Amino acid sequence: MREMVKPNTRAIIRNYLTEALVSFNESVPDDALLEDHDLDSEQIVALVLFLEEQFHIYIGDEEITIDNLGSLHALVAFVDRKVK
Amino acid sequence: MLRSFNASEEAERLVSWLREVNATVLRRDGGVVGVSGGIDSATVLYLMVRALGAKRVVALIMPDRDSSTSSASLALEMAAQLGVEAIQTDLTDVLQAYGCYELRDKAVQHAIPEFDPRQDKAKIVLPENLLAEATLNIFSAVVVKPDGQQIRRRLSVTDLRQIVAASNMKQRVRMTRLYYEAELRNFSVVGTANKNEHDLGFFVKYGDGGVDVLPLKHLFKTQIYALAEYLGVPMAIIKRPPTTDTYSAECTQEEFFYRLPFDVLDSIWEADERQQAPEQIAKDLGLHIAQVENVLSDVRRKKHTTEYLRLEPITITYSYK
Repeated sequence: MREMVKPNTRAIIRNYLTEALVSFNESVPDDALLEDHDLDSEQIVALVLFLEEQFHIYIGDEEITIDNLGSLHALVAFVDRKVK
Repeated sequence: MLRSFNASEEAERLVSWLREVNATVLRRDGGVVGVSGGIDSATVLYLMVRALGAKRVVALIMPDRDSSTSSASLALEMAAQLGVEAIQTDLTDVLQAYGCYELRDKAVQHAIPEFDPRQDKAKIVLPENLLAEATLNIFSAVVVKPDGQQIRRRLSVTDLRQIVAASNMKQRVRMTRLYYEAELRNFSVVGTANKNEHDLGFFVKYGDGGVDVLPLKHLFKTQIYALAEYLGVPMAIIKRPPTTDTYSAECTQEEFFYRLPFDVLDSIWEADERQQAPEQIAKDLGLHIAQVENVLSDVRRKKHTTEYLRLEPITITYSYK
């Protein structure tokens, strides 16, 4: 059966991105690439820390990839897999 | 070897260009080169001696307490062979007075409380091997204990910023000293950044980026190896692995920033600049397309995120109304 995305995860991460990235706002689609919104290496570290604290998960260095963190859609799927 | 690079032609072109630029654009009587014992500064020193003659070139060697001792001795030896004036000045006291070591070490200690700066060494690194994994660029601190044991932890933004900002004092103090020696003689300051460093942002704004002329800015690191050999740079310098020479623990440029060997990075990047498709690049180099794409994404990302470093001060023109 297909995993259901927890609506809360998306809202929490979207809020965070809207505050953290200058050019990210409500109109940005979920599958937009975050690097097009200036997600640089410092912001990646801050994002990882936020996800770890917010969702009580541990993210290994090897998991910090574009596939997992590259878009809001990817982030939500990644976090939901981790908290499952 | 990259396509269509002729070291002898490039050397001759650079020599006449340096002569011309120094005399007619900068209008200086000679040039000062900060010489680290690495291949880039050695190549620039050899080019300058060819361009202006040994008497119009000064080699400035500026180690501090974290520098490897072999760096300074290789630089001094090379300067002596070329017959250029070599000035060695240790910057440890100045950096100490600025708080460079203390501020940097405090941040490392915050990330890794087991760090004892009196006996341990430390460095910061990116994840290894960009070809093996498509991980993004996040810095970790690594502490090396006297028995060789290593402790590695991911850095928070605050700690990373403090380590980088404190360490960058080194390049900025060197720049100040370079300009002192240059102004004393009406010489220019000749920079040593190559294309990899300049375009990907591996330099310090107003530190090693604060210079009058950058003769290697257009050349890939692998092209500089060929140029250095042609110019007769000592093999002891050519064969050394490029290091940051910034942190107390030994740290290669590959582990600090580039994440893969220069020959691979340069071949992929240069082929991309020639508009080669990733499929073709992968085929030519015996790599997977995904590996080539990882490297090209990393190049694009680094170029983009370090754009600020290459910007001149932003100004606005006066509006007459």
